[in-house]
Formats: sequence, C-alpha cells, structure tokens
Amino acid sequence: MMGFLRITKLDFFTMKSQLSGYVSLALIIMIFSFLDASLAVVCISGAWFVALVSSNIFAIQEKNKLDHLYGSVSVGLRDIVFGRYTFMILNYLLSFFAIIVIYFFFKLIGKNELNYSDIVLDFSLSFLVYSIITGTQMPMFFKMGYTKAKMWSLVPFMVVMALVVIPFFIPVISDMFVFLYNNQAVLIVGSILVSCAVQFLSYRIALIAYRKRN
Amino acid sequence: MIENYLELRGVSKSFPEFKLNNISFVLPKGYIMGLVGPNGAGKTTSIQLILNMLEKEAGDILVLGKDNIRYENSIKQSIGVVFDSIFYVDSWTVKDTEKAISIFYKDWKHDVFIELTKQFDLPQGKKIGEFSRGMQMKLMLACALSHNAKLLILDEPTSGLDPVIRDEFLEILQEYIKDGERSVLFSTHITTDLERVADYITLLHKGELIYTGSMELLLGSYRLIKGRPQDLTKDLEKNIIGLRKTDMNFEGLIGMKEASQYKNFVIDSATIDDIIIRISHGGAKK
Repeated sequence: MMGFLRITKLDFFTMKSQLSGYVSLALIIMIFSFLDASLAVVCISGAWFVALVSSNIFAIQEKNKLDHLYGSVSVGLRDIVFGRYTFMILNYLLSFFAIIVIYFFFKLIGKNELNYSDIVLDFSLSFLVYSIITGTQMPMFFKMGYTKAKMWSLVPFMVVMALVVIPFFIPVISDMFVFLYNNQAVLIVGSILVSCAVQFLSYRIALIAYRKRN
Repeated sequence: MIENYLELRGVSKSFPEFKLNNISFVLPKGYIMGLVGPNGAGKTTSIQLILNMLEKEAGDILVLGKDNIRYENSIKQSIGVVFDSIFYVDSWTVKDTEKAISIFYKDWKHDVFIELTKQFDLPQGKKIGEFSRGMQMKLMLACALSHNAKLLILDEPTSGLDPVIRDEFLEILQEYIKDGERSVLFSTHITTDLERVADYITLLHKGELIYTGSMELLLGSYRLIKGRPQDLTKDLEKNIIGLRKTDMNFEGLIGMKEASQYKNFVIDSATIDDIIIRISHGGAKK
C-alpha cells in the first residue's frame, strides 16, 4: 500500500471516535428531508457540516501528539499531507453519497421523483463549498496546529456565508448568479474545476507549511 | 555489513532561541548509547533530526548505513521509536493500536505483539487514555519491538516511571540487544538508568557536543575534587568545572590529568550525574 493511503487509512481509523458527528449529520438530513428542503440546501448544509466534523482530525492529531506517530512510521512528509487531503475528499464523497441515499429514501417514501441533473449540480456546488472551507483551513492547521489555527479556521465559513449573502446586495454579482443558474453545465464544470484548483493549491501550500512548521 | 547503526556527522539546526551545533556521534551495532544532558541540551532535537521530523541545516545522518532523508521510508521499517509520552489516539484499545500501527510495517509480527502485551500485562479492552503512564510506555515499546526493528530510538522513555517499571524497562532493553544485531539510542536525564545499561554516552549541553564515546572512558576522564576554601588557588580554580564554594569547603569536577597534580585534596570518582551537573553549572572544558 502506498504511503499516503496508509495515512488515509489511519485517519479513518483515528476518526472512529467521531462517529457521533456523522450520525448527527444523518439526523440533520432526515429532518431537512421531512421539512421538504431542496436537495441543494441539504447538500450545501451537509458540506458545511462535514467540513466542521472532519476538521476534528487535526484536533485529535494535536491532542494525541500524532505528529510523533507520523514521524516514527515509514511515511514521508508528502505522504502525510497528501494522505490527509485524500481523507478529507473521501470524507466528503462518502458523506455526499450518504446524504443522497438518505434524502432520496425519504423523498421516495413521499413518492417524489429522482432528478439526476439536480444531483450533479448540487454535488458540484456543495463540493465547491467544501473545497473553499477545507482548502483554506488545512494549510492553517498544518502550519499552526489545531489550537492556534482554530480562530482563523472560522474565516472560510464566513467567506462562504458572505458569498451567499453578497449577491442579494450587489446586482452585478446577482446577474452573474442568474446567468450561471440558467447555464447549469457551465456552473457544474466551473464549480468542479474551481474546487479542484482550490484543493490543489491548498495542498501545495499545506505541504510547504507543514515542512516549515518547526 | 553495516558496523554503525547510527552516524551523525556535523549536524546543525537553528531555532530562534536555540542552536544544535555541529553534532557528531556514532552508535555501533549491538550497543546501547545514552544521549544525555540537562533539559534544553538538544536531545529531543537530535532525535527528531534523526527521524527527519525536523529539517537539518547542515551535516549528514546515516541510519543503518543509509541517508536518513533519501531512504526515510525503508529505514523506518527497521526503527522502533518510543517518545516520552504516548502518541496513539487515547480512545484506542490495544487491539485498535495494533490495527492502526501494523499497516505501516511489512514485517509486523502479530504473535510477538500479542506475546509482549501479555508479558507487559496490558489490558486488552481498556482505552489507552485510561492506562497508567507505565502501561502507555509499555504499549509503545510493544509496538516498537513487534516489527523486527534493528534500531530502537527512545526519547526519555523512563521519565515519570516508578523504579519498578523502570527496572523492567531496562531489562527489556538489555534482552533486546542480547543477540548483538540490534542497537538502542536512549535519551534520558535519569543517568542511573544509563549506568546500568549504556555502553556509550553522548553528552550534550546547550546544543553543543561535550562528549561522545564509551561510558567507561567518560567516567575515567573526570574526578570530583573537594577541599577547604583557603586551599583553593587561582590555578586550581581555573581547572575546576562547575565549582561550588561554601564557607566550609569547595567541590567541583576536574579532568583526570589535572587531578593528578592535586594530591593533597580529596579526589573521588565522579558519576554521570556529577559530570552533567558540574558541566551544566560551569560549562565544559573540552
């Protein structure tokens, strides 16, 4: 098994104690589904929530001095950082899958139809939200550790909130959003491309930050 | 065939308030080396540089004959590490720990791990966070010994342990190197532990290498000198390391060669503790 996959596996193992967080996510989706919220709202709220829960890996890392563990086993620094990014993305993908399954289970009970294009659109948008939040947070956590970066790590949540609110006040941006909404293919491809770019840039910065941490 | 399991050549690393300066030492195969010095001497920094947890600024580090950065992954398959506090997730049990750690080693020996945890009386179902410090150290040691490691690197493993557990710990180390194919680097400031098990000593002080070599030679290099204050000449004072003077007497460390010049004083053999304490107080005369 490659080094980064070992770290990813270790991260999943480490997060076992956070299972209650993921169960809470499932409950929130059930509630949203009962309240007849749109899939977009459920997915974006889910991305938000998963970003909150999954960042706990850095808290556990710091509390349990896992840097010493990573330093003692046969993985390099690049494996540690890349493994963590892989963990975060898999975390999102698995959660998204769970969100879709739970959401449509409740919708199907209500005899609603599945809309595949909505799933793809909401996947791309929620992945963008998740990438902005975690992509900004992770270099900070790698550089400063969880406790020192905790306050700063709230900034991306505010940025995402601002991105949602600002279009209501600035007509130009609002028009742009309308354009994107009417050209969903552009929105989907654009969101996924931006998400990947954010993740890649974030990974490169995190790698340098972690190397320079000492 | 590799004769030296660990070799540092002119290794340096700077921090804003501390510098590890030009450190060189060699740990041959089949021996235990004590890495000693007061707090802040550079012991943990040296270990973190060996493990490539810190980036060195100068020098070379060879572990099992290979460069520690270029061959980091393969080297770490053959190293067991124990730090001064547990570095596993506190909600894990012994079984969880094995599952998590074994994924990193090609040569993980499940039977050896089980045997060691039984030998160490580690409760299988209890969470690590609820373990005593002694149990936590034993668990780290069990992991370090379960993948056929050729080199053990221990960073203050005995600090905070009671004498009984420390004794057990040292016995395990002696047993571990018995076949002559394994080595141990053991950082500590509890020097009585080293007097029992170490063959070699590397003494650091404020980031500088004071001594590296056999323990016998270190103990043979210094003597404790004692006398009345009125007998303390300027010439003698110059030769004493870490002089402690009261109205009644004076005491300090003196080099073996110089000691022979002062036959009218009380000259005692020095322990490692004496040497470290005096050097810490007075600086070293190399």
